Amino acid sequence: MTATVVRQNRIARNADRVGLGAMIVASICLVALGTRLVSGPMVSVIVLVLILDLVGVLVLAARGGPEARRLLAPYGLLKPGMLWLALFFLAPVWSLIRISLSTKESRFSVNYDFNWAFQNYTKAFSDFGSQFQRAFLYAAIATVLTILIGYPLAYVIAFRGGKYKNILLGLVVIPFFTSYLIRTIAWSTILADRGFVVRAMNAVGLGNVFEWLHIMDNGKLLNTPAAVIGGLTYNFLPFMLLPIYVSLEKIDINLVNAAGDLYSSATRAFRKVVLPLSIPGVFAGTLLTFIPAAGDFVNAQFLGNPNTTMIGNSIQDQFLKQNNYPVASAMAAVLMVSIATLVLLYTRIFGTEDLA
Amino acid sequence: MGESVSDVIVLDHVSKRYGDFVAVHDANFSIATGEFFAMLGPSGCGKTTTLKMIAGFEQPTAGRVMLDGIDVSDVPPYKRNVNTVFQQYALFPHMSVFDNVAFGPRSKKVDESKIKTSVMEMLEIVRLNDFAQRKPSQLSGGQQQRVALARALVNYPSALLLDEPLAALDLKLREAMQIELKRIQREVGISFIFVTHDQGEALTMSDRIAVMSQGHVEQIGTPQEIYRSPASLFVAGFIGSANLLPGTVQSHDGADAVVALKAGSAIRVAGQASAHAIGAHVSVMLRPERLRPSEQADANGQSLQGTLTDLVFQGATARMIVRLADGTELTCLADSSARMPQIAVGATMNVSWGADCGYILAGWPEKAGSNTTDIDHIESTL
Repeated sequence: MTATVVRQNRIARNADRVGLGAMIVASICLVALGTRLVSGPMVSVIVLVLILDLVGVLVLAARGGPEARRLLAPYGLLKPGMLWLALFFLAPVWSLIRISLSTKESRFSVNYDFNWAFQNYTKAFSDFGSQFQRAFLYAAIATVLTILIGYPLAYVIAFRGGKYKNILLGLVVIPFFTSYLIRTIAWSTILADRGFVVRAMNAVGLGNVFEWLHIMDNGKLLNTPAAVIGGLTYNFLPFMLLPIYVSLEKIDINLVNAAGDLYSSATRAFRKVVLPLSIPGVFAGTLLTFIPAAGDFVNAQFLGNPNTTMIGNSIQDQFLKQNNYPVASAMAAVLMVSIATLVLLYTRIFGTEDLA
Repeated sequence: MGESVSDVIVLDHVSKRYGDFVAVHDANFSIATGEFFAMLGPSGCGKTTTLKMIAGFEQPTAGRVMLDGIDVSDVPPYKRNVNTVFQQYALFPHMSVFDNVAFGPRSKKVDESKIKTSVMEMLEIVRLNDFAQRKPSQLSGGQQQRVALARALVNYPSALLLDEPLAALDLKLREAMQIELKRIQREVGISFIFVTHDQGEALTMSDRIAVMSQGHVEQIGTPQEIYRSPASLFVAGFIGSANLLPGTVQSHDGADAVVALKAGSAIRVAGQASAHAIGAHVSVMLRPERLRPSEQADANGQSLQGTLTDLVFQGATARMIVRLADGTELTCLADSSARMPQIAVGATMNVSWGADCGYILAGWPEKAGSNTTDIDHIESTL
């Protein structure tokens, strides 16, 4: 065996470990830099380590021969995403949690002392408990509504759309080429107190019914909980509809025929065949709708009133207006953990192996 | 049409049109209980549409579909006592094999304990009892096919409809499943009506075959009848291969007809004088396996001379292509174990046959000489 082969074999034997190790080291470096954990001359040291790490693996790959390259390739492909997450996800989350446990040096200072200040969390719960509740309640209602509206719509497009399928899907998506903000503000015009919707409702006498249903409040449609939930429902509908459509579209029409052939009425065929096969779509749609809706602040801002603020509004307020980063961070951390917990529970209960 | 009590399905002058297009024209036949019945034809001949009308997925535009003596033309599929095995099986992917098979009985609200017995019984018949808890995706194509069969048969339908049941399987498996299907059918005694474009499949399995072309039923009969005495030139060319020689009826000699072939000679065809008048334009069908290759011409004139253009050894048989003087090509399938004349490709040779080997069909073929159904061609047009 030549020296080259011996060297290549040695590198190949260790390539797996080296690749993984180098990726972890590089990620730690980026988190350290991103969170400003290190300062002064240490920064140069970390940057040097990072460069050596990145270049080192390349050199190893160049000198290691095909087997080493084959083993290193997966880490090479993972690295960009991993480093991106380290810098733009892990580092901010670290900072967020750190600030949430800090106190301001003084009332107007922008500097924080890390001192395990758990009172931030107490304050987040005690002062903003109702905003948390409201956020999850509104998001949950909006999610249910998107299912109730989106499922039949997706069903019709998938099974009865024929050659108009793409046009119909386009009609669902086209409004979303406009900015989220503009669309939400447009709703405030549509639902305005002297707008045509309210006037039309009152003209046909539906006002009282809506009042009774707590959809309208003192003749107003705008600035009610219903308006906020409606806005959320409207804005997140495509995120529910599209996954459901995809899972319905995949269903072979012969399965429905087969159910009919096996003595099932249309209702039973739907219940036993179509619905179970489309559950992965509903599941994916629920995640795509509930998670952003729970953290949303735009709809409550433009369509709600001071009594409909959601946790997103409060976090934004604490961060940008009150300049109270520690409490705002604590609230954001709580929101993140709550959503993660709810999603995990949901996955446990309804989860499907083939989440498509 | 002779409707007997034992007929499970009767198609009474059934037609189906889509706008101007006639998919099925005046289908009028019946299928007996316990019969293995094939509907055979090239794609677009209306066989699948006919099957769908029996299943209830399509409604006839004219005529009646009778099931067990009752008109079911307007009855939806889920109320008809027939079951279908779909071409791609259409097994429910989210259910186990057991639940798939139990689907029909559960729809009918049969007692769950009875369902368990009957499902396991049926899985036993299709030899899948060890696979009851598997998902369809964990089974091979042949096993999925058998689940589809069990799922349909567990309901003990009056008739089982199979839409190209073997098309999705590879050749070896297809041959095994042909025997398996036949065994299962005998075991359960239910009428099987199956649609195929594969004449070999139809000949192997069926008790009777309906040959269809362009929406018309060309002929209904046992495989032997259809092979030996096809009703039309289309059937002759579609079932097996046939050498079709155009000619004119020259004279009648007792029961025999003498036909003057366009290719030159006048030949004798036994026992068919009554069906074809003198002077009629006819074709003489000669099956390749009935032709004998020889160096000498036949003493009775029952032979044609040509050039051997191709010789393919196929194991038990040898296929010879013989080109006649007018360019017509004949196929001759010779028993390769018999003493074959030593003829080289390019040499002149004779093919001869007995007077009882020919069969006279009305009309002249589009293409004289050898007509073979090219299965590959049909499959590629599906």
